[in-house]
Amino acid sequence: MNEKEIVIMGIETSCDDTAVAVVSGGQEILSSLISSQADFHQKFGGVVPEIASRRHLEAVNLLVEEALREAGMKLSDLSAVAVTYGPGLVGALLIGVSTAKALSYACGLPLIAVNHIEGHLYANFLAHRDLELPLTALIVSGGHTNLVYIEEHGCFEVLGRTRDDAAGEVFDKIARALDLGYPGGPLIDGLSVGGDSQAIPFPRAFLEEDSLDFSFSGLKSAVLNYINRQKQKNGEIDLKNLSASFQQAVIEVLVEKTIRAAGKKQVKNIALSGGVAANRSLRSSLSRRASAEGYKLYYPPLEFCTDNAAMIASAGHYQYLRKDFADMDLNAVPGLQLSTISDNM
Amino acid sequence: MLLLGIDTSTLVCSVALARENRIIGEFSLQNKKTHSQRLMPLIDSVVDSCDLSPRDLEGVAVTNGPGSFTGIRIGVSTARGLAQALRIPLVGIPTLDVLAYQFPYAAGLVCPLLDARRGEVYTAVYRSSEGKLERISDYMAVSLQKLLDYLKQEPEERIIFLGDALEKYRDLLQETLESRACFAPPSLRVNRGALVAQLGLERICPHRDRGNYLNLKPFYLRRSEAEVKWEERQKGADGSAAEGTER
Ligand SMILES: [Zn+2]
Repeated sequence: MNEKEIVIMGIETSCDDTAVAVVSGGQEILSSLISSQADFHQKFGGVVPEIASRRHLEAVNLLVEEALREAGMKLSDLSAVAVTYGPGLVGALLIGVSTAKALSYACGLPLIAVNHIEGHLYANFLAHRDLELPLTALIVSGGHTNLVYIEEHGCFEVLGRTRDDAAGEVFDKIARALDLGYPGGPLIDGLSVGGDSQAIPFPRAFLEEDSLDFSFSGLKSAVLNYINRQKQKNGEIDLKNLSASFQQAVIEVLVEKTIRAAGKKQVKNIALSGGVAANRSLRSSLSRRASAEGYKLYYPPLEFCTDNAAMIASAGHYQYLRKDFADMDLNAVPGLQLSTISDNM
Repeated sequence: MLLLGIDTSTLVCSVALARENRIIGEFSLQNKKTHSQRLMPLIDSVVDSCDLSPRDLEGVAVTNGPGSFTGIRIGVSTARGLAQALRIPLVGIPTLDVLAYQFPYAAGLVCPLLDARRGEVYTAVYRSSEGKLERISDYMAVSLQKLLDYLKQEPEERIIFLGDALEKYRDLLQETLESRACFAPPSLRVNRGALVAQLGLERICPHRDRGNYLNLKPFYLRRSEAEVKWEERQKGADGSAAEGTER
């Protein structure tokens, strides 16, 4: 079969963005639409699952309609429907899963269940036609922090993951403690620009000598304690210095472990993806370090770092090639992890 | 017109195929699996068992609430997806209607009760006579006490209770309303796809705009807890903060 003829619709509803995309050949984006709910959740200081579910339901079909129209296609022109089935908020995931199942059943199309974390990785394949396997990837966002080795499509080895909070989650919590707003990542990134990253000494958790796991809860407590102490003695908090120092503590660990992982697996390519991959300081630090060590670093353009459906369709494309299809009893799996998968299972 | 009826508003997952004056097939399950795991396989089975294909469907009716928020959403999003893909009309049927319409010749009142948690029931009161059913109250989320106060105002009619909260309140209903209270047997107590399909056939308009699936929304009857708390906080009536769940 000619790869170029495969056209996949991706549907993504794992958190607070409803997204639908149509992607041809795993790379060519025919349409990619996102309906953000951020405005509705802002006043609650975080995503409210019940509200997210209600909004997804009202938005998803219109996005399907629009995505098809933009792509100049009918549902029956598609090769398959791919949908995020986890991890994420269960009620939110269920909207995408139910919709995708109904569309695929009615049109007789294969259904593809995509792991959201894997989806983030495939954002890199959307953007970089020259990206070759094997590679080591750092996938880091509000819900997950993973170091992964990918030998070939569908064949993963999880090298490390967070033992407590995800990196992006810590950004959100610190931003909330500082009353900066939500989401926290871009706000702290912006404040860091003029700040001194050495101003406040926060801890870096490297864990055991050979571990590629992460732990950010110690850092989180240290920052929250610092904020509380300053508030108690009515001390001034220099937001720029605090943001820069905190962010530097996160980035140093991420960069160091990623380089170690690449060395351990002896790859040439490193891929960075996930919402936190939008962080400018992380991009530049990892870029510098990777090129110094002789690795080639890939990361997606900003719009594909955050949640989107094109990446789900792209991941779905490679699952389609392996005929990795889901049944009509597919359920949402809110606690889905990225697990080591080998081809010969 | 061949119509698919879907009900996932309570613990029962029920689907049916019907044409005018005829129920062709109906499957119901109330087992341990979730609606997400049961619904599409049940639809597939009922269509397949009737030697039909999805392309033969000409309309969809779905119970759109009140009831379990998640259950309603699974039903409604599935129904919207089917209507969208097949370009067929879609209609939403209130959960309480689906229950009450099992008793068109009851000569008295019919009162479905669904457990709404937090000490409340989703309910409405219907008057049934000579094959006709008329809803005489609003759709409500109220404490049983409020419902009893309402029922005591009504004339000395017999009241048939049904729905998933029936057992929970049986003794209290019996004590308060004495011989007026009648309890539907288990087979006539639950939501059924056949009733959804039948009501759907009566209410659906075959010439309705094909884009109408976009307008069908769940009928929650209640706002989300976070919104209620947030508004209370704005009014200063309650000092506690609405707890959002972080991503
Ligand atoms: Zn994500």
